[in-house]
Amino acid sequence: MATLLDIKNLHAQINGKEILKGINLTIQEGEVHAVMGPNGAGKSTLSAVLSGNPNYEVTEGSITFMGQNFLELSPEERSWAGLFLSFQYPIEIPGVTIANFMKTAINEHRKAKGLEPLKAAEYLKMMREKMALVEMDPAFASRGVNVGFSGGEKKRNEIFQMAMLAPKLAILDETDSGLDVDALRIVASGVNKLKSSETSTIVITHYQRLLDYIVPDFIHVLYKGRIIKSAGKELALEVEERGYDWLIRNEI
Amino acid sequence: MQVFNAGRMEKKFIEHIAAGHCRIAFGKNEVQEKLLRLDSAAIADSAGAGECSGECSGTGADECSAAETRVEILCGAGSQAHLLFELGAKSELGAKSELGAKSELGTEAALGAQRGAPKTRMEVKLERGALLRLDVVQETSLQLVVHLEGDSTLYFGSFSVGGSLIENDYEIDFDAPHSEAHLGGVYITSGTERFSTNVNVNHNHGDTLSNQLFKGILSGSSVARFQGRITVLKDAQKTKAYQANNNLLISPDARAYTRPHLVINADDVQCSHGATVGSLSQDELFYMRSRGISLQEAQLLQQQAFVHEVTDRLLTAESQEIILPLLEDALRNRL
Repeated sequence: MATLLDIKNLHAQINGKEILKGINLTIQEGEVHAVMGPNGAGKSTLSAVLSGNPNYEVTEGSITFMGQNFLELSPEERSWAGLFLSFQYPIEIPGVTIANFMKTAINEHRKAKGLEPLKAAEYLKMMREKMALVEMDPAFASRGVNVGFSGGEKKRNEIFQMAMLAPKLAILDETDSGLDVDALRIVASGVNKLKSSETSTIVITHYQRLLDYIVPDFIHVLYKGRIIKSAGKELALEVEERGYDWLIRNEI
Repeated sequence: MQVFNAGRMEKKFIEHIAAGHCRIAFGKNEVQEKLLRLDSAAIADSAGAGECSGECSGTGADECSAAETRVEILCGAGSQAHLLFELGAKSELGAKSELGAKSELGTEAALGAQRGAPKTRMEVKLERGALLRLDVVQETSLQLVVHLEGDSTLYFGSFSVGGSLIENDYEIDFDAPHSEAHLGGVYITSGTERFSTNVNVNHNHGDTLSNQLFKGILSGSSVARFQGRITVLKDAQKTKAYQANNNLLISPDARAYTRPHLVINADDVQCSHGATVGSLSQDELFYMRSRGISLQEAQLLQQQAFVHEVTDRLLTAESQEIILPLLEDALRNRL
């Protein structure tokens, strides 16, 4: 089993404020890792830094993805390398339809691999297939990306995009926030269908609930920019019952 | 709907009145379903501008006696027509080979564009119940005056992807109640181009509707100006008048000046105006890049979306087929 992601001593800041204070994390192919923690711990900063959000600055440490120095790559290059981030707050892009958006993304990925763009019919077929996978109404294809979507619809759109791009490593950033049980089931089902022994997932979540559906191999608790505990999936239940306080008290 | 090529085919609709002056008329209840496409050459020939077929001999624009072309458009009661004009010193508008003021027109014509540039004056009259779609693709200035009788509808779109100095003046007069004017346009400027739009909408009668949407994408050190005045007379109750001008600056030296001006003397009206000068949303760009869309393609998608708001509103499928590729090409190659 190959090492997909290797994060060593990662320090990152935004607007001069240090948020990540030395993260170490290794993810092998085929694994599901959950990252939990109270608000302000740095969970979203971690996903922002991994995806190359220009608002954040890495001050120390390294990120290696399939042997490549990730920090040298632009956001689109990281996507081509096989990373996907399901945003906590997906952005609305008025005037750009989902169909056009994904067609451009798919063809840019193909161009990066030296492949010809997909023919229109092939693309349509692929789009319909993946929409069905996440139970998305085909009418959404002609809607502006995320424009006027409910929280659940936005999250489902993220998983639809993930299905289309077939990443090696998917980061789900608080994908469960704001979802009712039905939406959660659909989103989790989509993610599980896309899992394989060659792909990995980082599930960033505040609550244990999602982890009932997307069962992790490892759980890491993030607090004030550091991972203070790593364990197997039972840790999620303990956090659910006792909160984060007991862990933090132990840490201090 | 068939689209005719410019020139010969459209001659039968154009009547020569005097030197540099022609008239296009549609009779009472005459419905022209075909999109009529007219370029400067067709107009110039019909306007009897034999002294100047649109190509300056290089002795200077001052010598060009067809510097202003006057086109009358008369839409008889109940008539329907769709006209697409291509205004430029050349008969075929093509993509510019270089950024900036230079164009395929040739240096003489380009210089002419900077001194007493050829311009077109259109006088439009919509009689009762007439419907006119007027699309103009322009490299040179346009002065437009429209009079609307009752129950008439105008759709007017101006599209410009290059012209070193363009100054447009539009005046819309509602001469009776129950008519509508939908106006707007897209201007894409680069290099040292200057583009200005001056709009005057006069709601002289009530129960009338005007809706303006003008959008520009500016690069290089180009400058665009927009002035839009809406006047609603005291007895023009139940008028609805809306105006918006949005400018996207994609280089640090581009400048946009925008000034709405509302003079409202009636009290039962709905009016609004909005103007923005901004740049591409960084959040949107990052979201797109995180899906593997390169920065350049992402910016293009945003610019296309920006422009489509106007084309979706003002153009039919037929005119979109002609105008969208022009805009697309400008977005890819001129900015």
